[in-house]
Amino acid sequence: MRSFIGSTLVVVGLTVLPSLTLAQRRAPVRTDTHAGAQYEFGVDLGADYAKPSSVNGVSTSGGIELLTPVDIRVGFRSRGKLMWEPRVSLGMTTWGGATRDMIGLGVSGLYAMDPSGHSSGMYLTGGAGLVLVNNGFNSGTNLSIGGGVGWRKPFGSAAWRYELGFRYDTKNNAYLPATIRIGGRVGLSLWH
Amino acid sequence: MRNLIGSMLVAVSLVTVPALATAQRAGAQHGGMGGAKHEFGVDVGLVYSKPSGGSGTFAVSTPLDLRLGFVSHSQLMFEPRVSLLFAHTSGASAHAFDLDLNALYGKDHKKGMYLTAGAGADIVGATGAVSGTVFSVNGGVGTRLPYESGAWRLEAFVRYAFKNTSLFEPNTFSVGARAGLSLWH
Repeated sequence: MRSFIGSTLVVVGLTVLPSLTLAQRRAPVRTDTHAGAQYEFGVDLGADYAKPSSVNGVSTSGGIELLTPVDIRVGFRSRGKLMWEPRVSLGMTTWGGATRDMIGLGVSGLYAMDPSGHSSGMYLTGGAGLVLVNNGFNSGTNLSIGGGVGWRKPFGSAAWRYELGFRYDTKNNAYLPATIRIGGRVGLSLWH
Repeated sequence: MRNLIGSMLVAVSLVTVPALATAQRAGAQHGGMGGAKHEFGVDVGLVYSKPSGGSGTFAVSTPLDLRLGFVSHSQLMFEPRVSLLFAHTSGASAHAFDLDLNALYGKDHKKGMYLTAGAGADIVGATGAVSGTVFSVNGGVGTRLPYESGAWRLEAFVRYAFKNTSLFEPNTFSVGARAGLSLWH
């Protein structure tokens, strides 16, 4: 019986080994196709559900927001799994001697979960930022933190980028009460 | 007047859509850009606006809009530009959609000077307030400065927005510049 099992294992081994070798040769080599690039540029369309906290004890309604372009993101590519991505948006208007402005500055860390690195596949992200607002009457600054999960899907030499996540903004005296947002952003990334 | 401009925009769209399709096909054969079909870009914009009968306004913003150029092997290419904002809460909503279509004329769509002209519609509205569209025309001159696989793009422009009495928007003349990065795909 033992010799029968042994013979069977040898036969199975001889049958399976060539196919395993072939499979190894055929296995797609997943590499970072943009390893030579230094930056990842992108813009997105963002959609979210926003819920401001109550103001002076009066509860406020949540709402849906849709915006494009959300901001400009410039990712600094790295050889490791972690890369950093500053995001910026700016709006300033001067009229009749009064200036109104809104400046959004943030930085996110992107941790690649895919063997192909920062070119395709899933990634986790988390970051923080500042929103500086002057509405012409008063000004304020708030901190924001956020996190999420995203995917890059190659599209020719570029990639579509999908991201789902949340963001929490602390109270800004010139803009909004503390607000939590849950949503996503979809955009295109190009490497340079 | 608004009907006329609206009709013109529709006509321009009808004329340019086939050209866009042709440009897309031709783009694949554009050796200078390695077969790139599209030019993507975002800019920082500086603009001074002078409404008729009102005070001037100076504005700086980024990202100004999202521009998507359809590369062609001819000297003419078309470039839609878009920015969208929509907000909705219980029983109320507001929107501002800015849609433009520009034509760019240049010897080389990767570098050097180009001339541009276009038209656009700024569609705005809010619950409980008036809604409407402000039509505009614009023109300018720009240049692309190659930067590795991309190019810096600098453009000076003028823009004239037609009044919309229901929105209380007067005729507005603007002059400004936009600077940004273009990448090809």
